[in-house]
Amino acid sequence: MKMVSIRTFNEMPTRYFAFGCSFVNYQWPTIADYIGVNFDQYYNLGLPGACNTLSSSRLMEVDELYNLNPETDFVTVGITGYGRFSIGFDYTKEGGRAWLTAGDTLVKSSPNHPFKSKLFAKQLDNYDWACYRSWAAIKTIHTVLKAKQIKHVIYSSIDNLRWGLDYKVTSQVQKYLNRIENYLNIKESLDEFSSKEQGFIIDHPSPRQHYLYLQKYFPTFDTEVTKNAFKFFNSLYTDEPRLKKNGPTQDEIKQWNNYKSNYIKESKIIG
Amino acid sequence: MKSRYFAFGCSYVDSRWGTVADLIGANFDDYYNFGNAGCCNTFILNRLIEADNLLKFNSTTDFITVGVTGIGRFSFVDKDEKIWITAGDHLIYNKNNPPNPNYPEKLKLLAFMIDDYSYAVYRSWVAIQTISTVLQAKNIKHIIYPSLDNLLYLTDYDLPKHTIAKVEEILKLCHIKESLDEFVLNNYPNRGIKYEDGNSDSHPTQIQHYDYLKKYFKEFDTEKTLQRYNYLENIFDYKSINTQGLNFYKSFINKHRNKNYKIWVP
Repeated sequence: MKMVSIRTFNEMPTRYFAFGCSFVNYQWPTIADYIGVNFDQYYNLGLPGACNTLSSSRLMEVDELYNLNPETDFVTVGITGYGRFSIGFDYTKEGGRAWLTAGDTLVKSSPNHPFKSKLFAKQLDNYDWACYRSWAAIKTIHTVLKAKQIKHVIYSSIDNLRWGLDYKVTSQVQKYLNRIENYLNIKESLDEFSSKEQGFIIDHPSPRQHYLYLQKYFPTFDTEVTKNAFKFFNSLYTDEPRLKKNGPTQDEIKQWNNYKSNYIKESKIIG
Repeated sequence: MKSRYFAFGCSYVDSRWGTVADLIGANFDDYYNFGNAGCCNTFILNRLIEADNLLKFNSTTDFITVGVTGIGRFSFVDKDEKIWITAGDHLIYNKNNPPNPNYPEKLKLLAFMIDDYSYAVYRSWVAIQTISTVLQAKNIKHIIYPSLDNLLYLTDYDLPKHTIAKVEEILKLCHIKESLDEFVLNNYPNRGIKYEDGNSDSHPTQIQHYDYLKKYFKEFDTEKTLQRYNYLENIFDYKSINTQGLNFYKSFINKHRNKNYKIWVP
Protein backbone atom coordinates (compact mmCIF):
# COMPACT_ATOMS: atom_id res chain seq x y z
CA MET A 1 0.00 0.00 0.00
CA LYS A 2 1.30 3.45 -0.85
CA MET A 3 0.91 6.70 0.92
CA VAL A 4 -1.10 9.26 -1.01
CA SER A 5 -0.59 12.69 0.43
CA ILE A 6 3.16 12.72 0.86
CA ARG A 7 5.01 11.31 -2.11
CA THR A 8 8.59 10.30 -1.68
CA PHE A 9 11.09 10.51 -4.48
CA ASN A 10 13.19 7.60 -3.41
CA GLU A 11 12.65 4.00 -2.43
CA MET A 12 12.31 4.65 1.27
CA PRO A 13 9.12 3.27 2.77
CA THR A 14 6.51 5.77 3.89
CA ARG A 15 5.71 5.69 7.60
CA TYR A 16 2.75 6.82 9.64
CA PHE A 17 2.77 7.23 13.43
CA ALA A 18 -0.49 7.77 15.32
CA PHE A 19 -0.59 9.04 18.94
CA GLY A 20 -3.47 9.50 21.33
CA CYS A 21 -5.91 7.59 23.52
CA SER A 22 -8.64 5.02 22.79
CA PHE A 23 -9.97 7.29 20.04
CA VAL A 24 -6.80 6.24 18.20
CA ASN A 25 -6.23 2.66 19.32
CA TYR A 26 -9.33 0.68 20.19
CA GLN A 27 -11.20 -2.57 19.90
CA TRP A 28 -12.64 -1.48 16.56
CA PRO A 29 -11.23 0.62 13.69
CA THR A 30 -10.36 4.24 14.37
CA ILE A 31 -9.42 7.13 12.13
CA ALA A 32 -5.76 6.18 12.59
CA ASP A 33 -6.44 2.71 11.20
CA TYR A 34 -8.16 4.22 8.14
CA ILE A 35 -5.22 6.55 7.52
CA GLY A 36 -2.70 3.80 8.27
CA VAL A 37 -3.69 1.60 5.32
CA ASN A 38 -2.24 4.23 2.97
CA PHE A 39 1.31 3.84 4.26
CA ASP A 40 4.02 1.25 3.85
CA GLN A 41 4.53 1.18 7.61
CA TYR A 42 1.92 2.09 10.19
CA TYR A 43 2.64 2.44 13.91
CA ASN A 44 -0.21 2.97 16.35
CA LEU A 45 1.06 4.39 19.65
CA GLY A 46 -2.38 5.21 21.03
CA LEU A 47 -3.21 3.88 24.47
CA PRO A 48 -6.76 3.76 25.88
CA GLY A 49 -7.13 6.12 28.83
CA ALA A 50 -3.82 7.90 28.19
CA CYS A 51 -3.18 11.54 29.07
CA ASN A 52 -1.56 14.12 26.80
CA THR A 53 1.77 13.90 28.63
CA LEU A 54 1.91 10.21 27.76
CA SER A 55 1.37 11.02 24.06
CA SER A 56 4.17 13.58 24.25
CA SER A 57 6.48 11.08 25.99
CA ARG A 58 5.73 8.38 23.40
CA LEU A 59 6.48 10.81 20.61
CA MET A 60 9.97 11.27 22.08
CA GLU A 61 10.44 7.51 22.39
CA VAL A 62 9.40 7.02 18.79
CA ASP A 63 11.70 9.79 17.60
CA GLU A 64 14.62 8.18 19.39
CA LEU A 65 13.83 4.70 18.03
CA TYR A 66 12.81 5.57 14.47
CA ASN A 67 14.48 8.94 13.90
CA LEU A 68 11.48 10.81 12.49
CA ASN A 69 12.27 12.55 9.22
CA PRO A 70 10.41 14.93 6.90
CA GLU A 71 10.94 12.81 3.75
CA THR A 72 8.96 9.71 4.67
CA ASP A 73 6.97 10.38 7.82
CA PHE A 74 3.52 11.56 8.75
CA VAL A 75 2.28 11.95 12.33
CA THR A 76 -1.16 12.48 13.82
CA VAL A 77 -1.83 13.34 17.45
CA GLY A 78 -5.35 13.03 18.85
CA ILE A 79 -5.54 15.33 21.87
CA THR A 80 -7.26 13.68 24.77
CA GLY A 81 -9.03 14.87 27.95
CA TYR A 82 -7.23 17.35 30.19
CA GLY A 83 -8.39 15.73 33.44
CA ARG A 84 -6.14 12.70 33.03
CA PHE A 85 -2.85 11.65 34.55
CA SER A 86 -1.17 8.44 33.42
CA ILE A 87 0.96 6.85 36.12
CA GLY A 88 4.09 5.02 35.13
CA PHE A 89 4.48 1.30 35.32
CA ASP A 90 2.03 -0.35 37.65
CA TYR A 91 2.30 -4.11 38.09
CA THR A 92 0.00 -6.12 35.80
CA LYS A 93 -1.86 -9.32 36.69
CA GLU A 94 0.71 -11.19 34.60
CA GLY A 95 3.57 -9.78 36.69
CA GLY A 96 4.80 -7.30 34.06
CA ARG A 97 4.78 -3.53 34.21
CA ALA A 98 2.41 -1.27 32.29
CA TRP A 99 1.13 2.29 32.20
CA LEU A 100 -1.80 2.94 34.49
CA THR A 101 -4.07 4.87 32.12
CA ALA A 102 -7.42 5.28 33.81
CA GLY A 103 -8.96 7.98 31.62
CA ASP A 104 -10.36 11.09 33.21
CA THR A 105 -9.91 10.71 36.96
CA LEU A 106 -10.22 14.40 37.83
CA VAL A 107 -13.65 15.36 36.47
CA LYS A 108 -15.13 11.92 35.86
CA SER A 109 -14.09 10.13 39.04
CA SER A 110 -15.39 6.63 39.43
CA PRO A 111 -15.15 4.05 42.22
CA ASN A 112 -13.96 1.64 39.51
CA HIS A 113 -10.80 3.63 38.84
CA PRO A 114 -7.58 1.97 40.05
CA PHE A 115 -6.54 2.81 43.61
CA LYS A 116 -3.39 4.74 42.66
CA SER A 117 -5.26 6.85 40.11
CA LYS A 118 -8.00 7.72 42.60
CA LEU A 119 -5.39 8.61 45.19
CA PHE A 120 -3.53 10.86 42.78
CA ALA A 121 -6.72 12.62 41.65
CA LYS A 122 -8.03 13.15 45.16
CA GLN A 123 -4.85 14.14 46.96
CA LEU A 124 -2.69 15.80 44.37
CA ASP A 125 -4.46 16.79 41.16
CA ASN A 126 -6.32 20.03 40.43
CA TYR A 127 -7.86 21.82 37.43
CA ASP A 128 -5.16 24.49 37.02
CA TRP A 129 -2.28 22.07 37.05
CA ALA A 130 -4.12 19.58 34.81
CA CYS A 131 -4.63 22.30 32.18
CA TYR A 132 -1.00 23.40 32.46
CA ARG A 133 0.19 19.80 32.01
CA SER A 134 -1.87 19.42 28.86
CA TRP A 135 -0.69 22.77 27.51
CA ALA A 136 2.95 21.80 28.16
CA ALA A 137 2.48 18.40 26.49
CA ILE A 138 0.69 19.73 23.41
CA LYS A 139 3.09 22.67 23.03
CA THR A 140 6.01 20.23 23.31
CA ILE A 141 4.52 17.96 20.62
CA HIS A 142 3.89 20.98 18.38
CA THR A 143 7.41 22.37 18.95
CA VAL A 144 9.18 19.06 18.25
CA LEU A 145 7.20 18.26 15.08
CA LYS A 146 7.56 21.79 13.73
CA ALA A 147 11.26 22.04 14.54
CA LYS A 148 11.91 18.66 12.86
CA GLN A 149 9.69 19.63 9.90
CA ILE A 150 7.61 16.48 10.19
CA LYS A 151 4.30 16.59 8.34
CA HIS A 152 1.62 16.30 11.00
CA VAL A 153 -1.95 16.94 12.02
CA ILE A 154 -2.87 17.71 15.63
CA TYR A 155 -6.59 17.35 16.25
CA SER A 156 -8.84 17.04 19.25
CA SER A 157 -10.15 13.59 19.98
CA ILE A 158 -11.97 14.47 23.17
CA ASP A 159 -14.17 17.52 23.66
CA ASN A 160 -12.44 19.75 26.24
CA LEU A 161 -14.77 22.72 25.79
CA ARG A 162 -16.09 22.56 29.36
CA TRP A 163 -12.64 23.42 30.73
CA GLY A 164 -12.61 27.02 31.90
CA LEU A 165 -16.44 26.99 32.03
CA ASP A 166 -17.70 24.12 34.19
CA TYR A 167 -14.23 23.29 35.41
CA LYS A 168 -13.08 26.66 36.71
CA VAL A 169 -9.48 27.76 36.24
CA THR A 170 -7.64 31.02 36.96
CA SER A 171 -7.53 33.72 34.29
CA GLN A 172 -3.85 32.98 33.69
CA VAL A 173 -4.55 29.29 33.06
CA GLN A 174 -7.41 30.33 30.76
CA LYS A 175 -4.76 31.98 28.55
CA TYR A 176 -2.92 28.66 28.32
CA LEU A 177 -6.19 26.91 27.42
CA ASN A 178 -6.75 29.45 24.65
CA ARG A 179 -3.22 28.89 23.37
CA ILE A 180 -3.89 25.16 22.94
CA GLU A 181 -6.40 26.10 20.24
CA ASN A 182 -3.55 27.63 18.23
CA TYR A 183 -1.74 24.31 18.03
CA LEU A 184 -4.73 22.38 16.66
CA ASN A 185 -4.97 21.86 12.91
CA ILE A 186 -8.62 20.80 13.22
CA LYS A 187 -10.92 22.72 15.56
CA GLU A 188 -13.90 20.33 15.78
CA SER A 189 -13.12 17.38 18.03
CA LEU A 190 -13.99 13.84 17.03
CA ASP A 191 -16.13 13.81 20.18
CA GLU A 192 -18.22 16.81 19.07
CA PHE A 193 -18.43 15.53 15.52
CA SER A 194 -19.71 12.14 16.67
CA SER A 195 -22.08 13.55 19.30
CA LYS A 196 -24.08 15.25 16.57
CA GLU A 197 -24.99 11.85 15.19
CA GLN A 198 -25.57 10.23 18.58
CA GLY A 199 -23.75 7.22 17.26
CA PHE A 200 -21.55 6.43 20.22
CA ILE A 201 -20.86 2.89 21.23
CA ILE A 202 -19.89 2.56 24.88
CA ASP A 203 -18.70 6.18 24.91
CA HIS A 204 -16.64 5.85 21.74
CA PRO A 205 -17.30 6.92 18.14
CA SER A 206 -18.37 4.02 15.96
CA PRO A 207 -16.17 2.77 13.08
CA ARG A 208 -18.50 4.62 10.70
CA GLN A 209 -18.12 7.92 12.58
CA HIS A 210 -14.34 7.62 12.49
CA TYR A 211 -14.60 7.18 8.73
CA LEU A 212 -16.95 10.17 8.34
CA TYR A 213 -14.54 12.32 10.36
CA LEU A 214 -11.74 11.26 8.03
CA GLN A 215 -13.85 12.16 4.99
CA LYS A 216 -14.50 15.64 6.40
CA TYR A 217 -11.09 16.52 7.82
CA PHE A 218 -8.55 14.20 6.17
CA PRO A 219 -10.02 14.06 2.63
CA THR A 220 -6.65 13.27 1.02
CA PHE A 221 -6.72 9.94 2.85
CA ASP A 222 -10.20 8.98 1.62
CA THR A 223 -8.60 6.80 -1.02
CA GLU A 224 -9.58 3.56 -2.68
CA VAL A 225 -7.57 1.57 -0.13
CA THR A 226 -9.27 3.43 2.72
CA LYS A 227 -12.71 2.85 1.18
CA ASN A 228 -11.92 -0.85 0.80
CA ALA A 229 -10.68 -1.03 4.38
CA PHE A 230 -13.89 0.61 5.56
CA LYS A 231 -15.94 -1.94 3.61
CA PHE A 232 -13.94 -4.75 5.14
CA PHE A 233 -14.23 -3.33 8.65
CA ASN A 234 -17.97 -2.95 8.17
CA SER A 235 -18.19 -6.60 7.20
CA LEU A 236 -16.77 -7.44 10.62
CA TYR A 237 -19.29 -5.25 12.43
CA THR A 238 -22.54 -5.89 10.60
CA ASP A 239 -25.00 -5.22 13.38
CA GLU A 240 -24.47 -1.59 14.46
CA PRO A 241 -27.63 -1.40 16.64
CA ARG A 242 -26.45 -4.44 18.59
CA LEU A 243 -22.96 -2.97 18.71
CA LYS A 244 -24.37 0.24 20.18
CA LYS A 245 -26.31 -1.70 22.79
CA ASN A 246 -23.77 -4.28 23.89
CA GLY A 247 -20.43 -3.40 22.33
CA PRO A 248 -18.50 -5.87 20.17
CA THR A 249 -18.41 -9.57 20.94
CA GLN A 250 -15.17 -11.30 21.88
CA ASP A 251 -15.13 -12.91 18.41
CA GLU A 252 -15.46 -9.55 16.69
CA ILE A 253 -12.64 -8.07 18.78
CA LYS A 254 -10.45 -11.10 18.05
CA GLN A 255 -11.13 -10.87 14.31
CA TRP A 256 -10.35 -7.18 14.31
CA ASN A 257 -7.13 -7.64 16.31
CA ASN A 258 -6.01 -10.42 13.94
CA TYR A 259 -6.61 -8.21 10.95
CA LYS A 260 -4.90 -5.23 12.58
CA SER A 261 -1.84 -7.24 13.58
CA ASN A 262 -1.18 -7.92 9.90
CA TYR A 263 -0.53 -4.35 9.03
CA ILE A 264 0.33 -2.47 12.22
CA LYS A 265 4.04 -2.50 13.00
CA GLU A 266 5.03 -3.53 16.49
CA SER A 267 6.97 -0.75 18.14
CA LYS A 268 9.51 -1.36 20.85
CA ILE A 269 8.59 1.46 23.14
CA ILE A 270 8.45 1.09 26.90
CA GLY A 271 5.17 0.00 28.41
CA MET B 1 21.10 42.15 17.98
CA LYS B 2 21.49 41.54 21.67
CA SER B 3 23.09 38.27 22.73
CA ARG B 4 20.88 36.24 25.08
CA TYR B 5 21.62 33.52 27.60
CA PHE B 6 18.97 31.28 29.17
CA ALA B 7 19.81 29.04 32.16
CA PHE B 8 17.58 26.14 33.23
CA GLY B 9 17.87 23.83 36.21
CA CYS B 10 17.33 23.54 39.95
CA SER B 11 19.00 25.25 42.93
CA TYR B 12 22.40 24.55 41.36
CA VAL B 13 21.35 27.19 38.82
CA ASP B 14 19.24 29.56 40.93
CA SER B 15 20.51 29.62 44.51
CA ARG B 16 21.00 32.00 47.41
CA TRP B 17 24.37 32.93 45.94
CA GLY B 18 26.08 33.04 42.56
CA THR B 19 26.06 29.89 40.43
CA VAL B 20 27.81 28.83 37.26
CA ALA B 21 24.82 30.30 35.37
CA ASP B 22 25.24 33.70 37.05
CA LEU B 23 28.92 33.69 36.06
CA ILE B 24 28.25 32.71 32.43
CA GLY B 25 25.51 35.36 32.35
CA ALA B 26 28.13 38.12 32.73
CA ASN B 27 29.13 37.53 29.10
CA PHE B 28 25.73 38.25 27.53
CA ASP B 29 23.61 41.34 26.91
CA ASP B 30 20.52 39.64 28.31
CA TYR B 31 20.66 36.94 30.96
CA TYR B 32 17.56 34.93 31.91
CA ASN B 33 17.59 32.45 34.80
CA PHE B 34 14.72 29.93 34.83
CA GLY B 35 16.21 27.79 37.61
CA ASN B 36 13.96 26.70 40.46
CA ALA B 37 15.18 25.17 43.71
CA GLY B 38 14.06 21.56 44.26
CA CYS B 39 12.38 21.13 40.89
CA CYS B 40 12.37 17.96 38.76
CA ASN B 41 13.58 17.50 35.19
CA THR B 42 10.01 17.60 33.78
CA PHE B 43 9.60 21.01 35.42
CA ILE B 44 12.83 22.11 33.71
CA LEU B 45 11.52 20.90 30.33
CA ASN B 46 8.24 22.76 30.82
CA ARG B 47 10.10 25.97 31.75
CA LEU B 48 12.18 25.63 28.58
CA ILE B 49 9.07 25.16 26.44
CA GLU B 50 7.48 28.19 28.15
CA ALA B 51 10.59 30.30 27.61
CA ASP B 52 10.62 29.38 23.92
CA ASN B 53 6.94 30.22 23.66
CA LEU B 54 7.42 33.63 25.30
CA LEU B 55 10.85 34.70 24.10
CA LYS B 56 11.21 32.77 20.80
CA PHE B 57 14.62 31.11 20.86
CA ASN B 58 16.75 31.79 17.80
CA SER B 59 20.06 30.39 16.62
CA THR B 60 21.67 33.77 15.92
CA THR B 61 21.67 35.32 19.37
CA ASP B 62 20.93 32.61 21.92
CA PHE B 63 22.87 30.28 24.19
CA ILE B 64 21.27 27.86 26.63
CA THR B 65 22.50 25.74 29.52
CA VAL B 66 20.49 23.00 31.18
CA GLY B 67 21.64 21.63 34.53
CA VAL B 68 20.15 18.15 34.85
CA THR B 69 18.79 17.62 38.34
CA GLY B 70 17.97 14.58 40.51
CA ILE B 71 15.98 11.79 38.93
CA GLY B 72 13.90 10.99 42.02
CA ARG B 73 11.92 14.24 41.99
CA PHE B 74 8.38 15.14 41.04
CA SER B 75 7.18 18.76 41.01
CA PHE B 76 3.47 19.38 41.39
CA VAL B 77 0.98 22.15 42.14
CA ASP B 78 -0.52 21.86 45.60
CA LYS B 79 -4.29 21.91 45.23
CA ASP B 80 -4.85 23.61 48.60
CA GLU B 81 -1.95 26.03 48.80
CA LYS B 82 -1.97 26.81 45.06
CA ILE B 83 1.81 26.82 44.84
CA TRP B 84 4.40 24.69 43.06
CA ILE B 85 5.82 22.07 45.39
CA THR B 86 9.41 21.58 44.29
CA ALA B 87 10.76 19.77 47.31
CA GLY B 88 13.78 17.94 45.94
CA ASP B 89 14.28 14.21 45.88
CA HIS B 90 11.49 12.17 47.52
CA LEU B 91 12.70 8.80 46.17
CA ILE B 92 15.68 8.76 48.52
CA TYR B 93 13.25 7.77 51.27
CA ASN B 94 12.32 4.16 51.95
CA LYS B 95 11.63 1.86 54.89
CA ASN B 96 15.31 1.89 55.90
CA ASN B 97 15.67 5.64 55.39
CA PRO B 98 12.35 7.19 56.45
CA PRO B 99 11.78 10.94 56.15
CA ASN B 100 11.51 13.05 59.31
CA PRO B 101 8.06 13.28 60.90
CA ASN B 102 7.48 16.80 59.54
CA TYR B 103 7.97 15.71 55.93
CA PRO B 104 4.83 16.80 53.96
CA GLU B 105 2.15 14.10 53.74
CA LYS B 106 1.68 14.63 50.00
CA LEU B 107 5.34 13.91 49.34
CA LYS B 108 5.19 10.78 51.49
CA LEU B 109 2.21 9.71 49.40
CA LEU B 110 4.21 10.26 46.23
CA ALA B 111 7.28 8.46 47.54
CA PHE B 112 5.55 5.44 49.03
CA MET B 113 2.28 5.00 47.11
CA ILE B 114 2.63 6.39 43.59
CA ASP B 115 6.17 6.89 42.35
CA ASP B 116 8.93 4.35 41.69
CA TYR B 117 12.46 4.31 40.33
CA SER B 118 11.62 3.07 36.81
CA TYR B 119 8.88 5.67 36.34
CA ALA B 120 11.14 8.41 37.71
CA VAL B 121 13.97 7.43 35.34
CA TYR B 122 11.53 7.37 32.41
CA ARG B 123 10.21 10.87 33.26
CA SER B 124 13.72 12.30 33.46
CA TRP B 125 14.77 10.58 30.24
CA VAL B 126 11.75 12.01 28.39
CA ALA B 127 12.50 15.48 29.73
CA ILE B 128 16.19 15.53 28.82
CA GLN B 129 15.67 13.78 25.47
CA THR B 130 12.98 16.35 24.58
CA ILE B 131 15.18 19.28 25.59
CA SER B 132 18.05 17.92 23.52
CA THR B 133 15.81 17.24 20.50
CA VAL B 134 14.18 20.68 20.57
CA LEU B 135 17.45 22.58 20.94
CA GLN B 136 19.18 20.54 18.25
CA ALA B 137 16.27 20.84 15.83
CA LYS B 138 16.12 24.60 16.39
CA ASN B 139 19.88 24.82 16.02
CA ILE B 140 20.32 26.64 19.34
CA LYS B 141 23.83 26.57 20.80
CA HIS B 142 23.55 24.76 24.11
CA ILE B 143 25.26 22.74 26.83
CA ILE B 144 23.49 20.07 28.89
CA TYR B 145 25.41 19.14 32.04
CA PRO B 146 24.60 17.16 35.17
CA SER B 147 24.13 19.33 38.23
CA LEU B 148 23.36 16.44 40.55
CA ASP B 149 25.02 13.05 40.71
CA ASN B 150 22.55 10.43 39.43
CA LEU B 151 25.09 7.58 39.20
CA LEU B 152 23.40 5.69 42.05
CA TYR B 153 20.65 4.78 39.60
CA LEU B 154 23.18 2.67 37.70
CA THR B 155 24.35 0.70 40.69
CA ASP B 156 22.32 0.90 43.86
CA TYR B 157 18.65 0.40 43.11
CA ASP B 158 18.62 -2.99 41.37
CA LEU B 159 16.75 -1.59 38.37
CA PRO B 160 15.69 -3.58 35.29
CA LYS B 161 18.02 -3.54 32.28
CA HIS B 162 15.89 -1.24 30.13
CA THR B 163 15.67 1.30 32.96
CA ILE B 164 19.45 1.29 33.44
CA ALA B 165 19.76 1.80 29.67
CA LYS B 166 17.63 4.94 30.02
CA VAL B 167 19.86 6.24 32.85
CA GLU B 168 22.86 5.68 30.58
CA GLU B 169 21.08 7.56 27.79
CA ILE B 170 20.48 10.51 30.13
CA LEU B 171 24.20 10.60 30.92
CA LYS B 172 25.04 10.37 27.19
CA LEU B 173 22.79 13.36 26.46
CA CYS B 174 24.97 15.47 28.79
CA HIS B 175 27.84 17.26 27.05
CA ILE B 176 29.77 17.31 30.31
CA LYS B 177 30.07 13.99 32.11
CA GLU B 178 31.21 15.05 35.59
CA SER B 179 28.36 16.49 37.61
CA LEU B 180 28.83 19.63 39.67
CA ASP B 181 28.11 17.39 42.67
CA GLU B 182 30.93 14.96 41.82
CA PHE B 183 33.28 17.83 40.95
CA VAL B 184 32.85 19.26 44.46
CA LEU B 185 33.24 15.84 46.07
CA ASN B 186 36.38 15.09 44.05
CA ASN B 187 38.15 18.40 44.57
CA TYR B 188 37.25 19.94 47.91
CA PRO B 189 37.48 18.74 51.51
CA ASN B 190 34.17 20.46 52.42
CA ARG B 191 31.06 21.68 50.77
CA GLY B 192 28.61 24.45 51.56
CA ILE B 193 28.60 27.52 53.77
CA LYS B 194 28.30 27.82 57.53
CA TYR B 195 26.70 31.11 58.54
CA GLU B 196 27.52 33.13 61.66
CA ASP B 197 24.12 32.26 63.17
CA GLY B 198 25.04 28.55 63.11
CA ASN B 199 22.88 27.56 60.12
CA SER B 200 24.44 26.01 57.05
CA ASP B 201 23.70 25.45 53.36
CA SER B 202 25.35 22.50 51.63
CA HIS B 203 25.09 23.68 48.02
CA PRO B 204 28.32 24.17 46.02
CA THR B 205 29.92 27.50 46.95
CA GLN B 206 30.64 30.37 44.58
CA ILE B 207 34.31 29.39 44.19
CA GLN B 208 33.26 25.82 43.41
CA HIS B 209 30.85 27.06 40.73
CA TYR B 210 33.63 29.29 39.35
CA ASP B 211 36.15 26.43 39.27
CA TYR B 212 33.60 24.19 37.50
CA LEU B 213 33.17 26.92 34.88
CA LYS B 214 36.95 27.18 34.45
CA LYS B 215 37.18 23.43 33.84
CA TYR B 216 34.12 22.86 31.65
CA PHE B 217 32.97 26.22 30.24
CA LYS B 218 36.41 27.53 29.25
CA GLU B 219 35.11 29.97 26.63
CA PHE B 220 33.35 31.83 29.46
CA ASP B 221 36.44 32.09 31.67
CA THR B 222 36.73 35.77 30.77
CA GLU B 223 37.58 39.06 32.44
CA LYS B 224 33.85 39.80 32.73
CA THR B 225 33.32 36.50 34.53
CA LEU B 226 36.16 37.24 36.95
CA GLN B 227 34.70 40.68 37.66
CA ARG B 228 31.31 39.15 38.36
CA TYR B 229 32.80 36.51 40.63
CA ASN B 230 34.64 39.21 42.61
CA TYR B 231 31.45 41.24 42.86
CA LEU B 232 29.49 38.21 44.13
CA GLU B 233 32.17 37.50 46.75
CA ASN B 234 32.20 41.14 47.86
CA ILE B 235 28.45 41.30 48.47
CA PHE B 236 28.28 37.95 50.33
CA ASP B 237 26.64 38.31 53.74
CA TYR B 238 27.77 35.59 56.15
CA LYS B 239 25.41 36.62 58.96
CA SER B 240 22.54 34.25 58.10
CA ILE B 241 20.80 32.36 55.28
CA ASN B 242 17.98 34.90 55.26
CA THR B 243 20.14 38.02 55.13
CA GLN B 244 22.28 36.51 52.37
CA GLY B 245 19.16 35.49 50.42
CA LEU B 246 17.68 38.99 50.65
CA ASN B 247 20.97 40.67 49.93
CA PHE B 248 21.61 38.44 46.90
CA TYR B 249 18.17 39.25 45.52
CA LYS B 250 18.59 43.00 46.01
CA SER B 251 22.22 43.37 44.96
CA PHE B 252 22.42 40.81 42.19
CA ILE B 253 19.20 39.25 40.85
CA ASN B 254 17.38 42.57 40.55
CA LYS B 255 20.29 44.16 38.72
CA HIS B 256 21.72 41.45 36.52
CA ARG B 257 18.96 39.04 35.52
CA ASN B 258 16.35 39.91 32.93
CA LYS B 259 12.97 39.26 34.54
CA ASN B 260 10.89 40.83 31.83
CA TYR B 261 8.65 37.84 31.16
CA LYS B 262 5.67 36.16 32.75
CA ILE B 263 5.65 32.42 33.20
CA TRP B 264 2.84 30.52 34.86
CA VAL B 265 2.69 30.62 38.62
CA PRO B 266 -0.32 28.96 40.29
